[in-house]
Amino acid sequence: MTAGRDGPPLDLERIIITLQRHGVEFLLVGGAGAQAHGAQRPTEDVDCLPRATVENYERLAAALRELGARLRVHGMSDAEARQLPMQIDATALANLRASTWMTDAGPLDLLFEMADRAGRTRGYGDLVDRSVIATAGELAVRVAALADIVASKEFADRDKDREALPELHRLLDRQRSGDASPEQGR
Amino acid sequence: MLGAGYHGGMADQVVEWNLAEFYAAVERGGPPTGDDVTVTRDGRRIDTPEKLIALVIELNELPRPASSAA
Repeated sequence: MTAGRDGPPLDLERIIITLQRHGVEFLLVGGAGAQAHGAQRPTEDVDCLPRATVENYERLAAALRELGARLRVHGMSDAEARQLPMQIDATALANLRASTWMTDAGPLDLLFEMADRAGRTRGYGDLVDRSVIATAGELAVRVAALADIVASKEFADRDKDREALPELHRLLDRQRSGDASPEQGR
Repeated sequence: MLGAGYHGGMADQVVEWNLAEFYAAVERGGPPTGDDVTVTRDGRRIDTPEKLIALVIELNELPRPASSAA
């Protein structure tokens, strides 16, 4: 099998609009969520945290099917991943804590819980009250609070998280000091 | 725009997002890394094609409610 992310380029709006049209309850998290808060660090995909209920799994499954979603993994080409005959439905999604997909609108990661600094896992219901709405023209999407995104990256403590955190801490300090202006250069 | 069933209640904070800057910063990544793995509810990391193929078979064989849509 060949390695490589050879799927379609990221079309964030198509992914979000498809999820919303199917009524999926979700928060944008991860690098894309941080960007909505003003971060400039590049990201490669979209991370979404859906509400973990049977009804929402069903809505999410319908959206994934419409997007032609296929699970992806290192060492498998997108053409090979497309050949896996996966039944995407609420039953399958309920058995995945986190999942990494390629879709016809680019890469999409789903996680049903996110850690805080202490490693306690929190789901949609724990995070939605602090979330914000990011708007871009006609698009409006709910994004996890920057503090929650920062906390999850502090706990994950991977190389890419450590690289991202200085900028996110600066943004968080600005938010807490009441200066909502975006980072210089935005 | 946010769809039915979304959180209501107190007024939400709204931030403006420049998608042109987002797309400018999107990196066309290389292959998925060790960070980009599917994890099952029981904690298994699906980090090889062989594990993914086995997982798909396993998920497909799970019992479904009679009304489940494929």
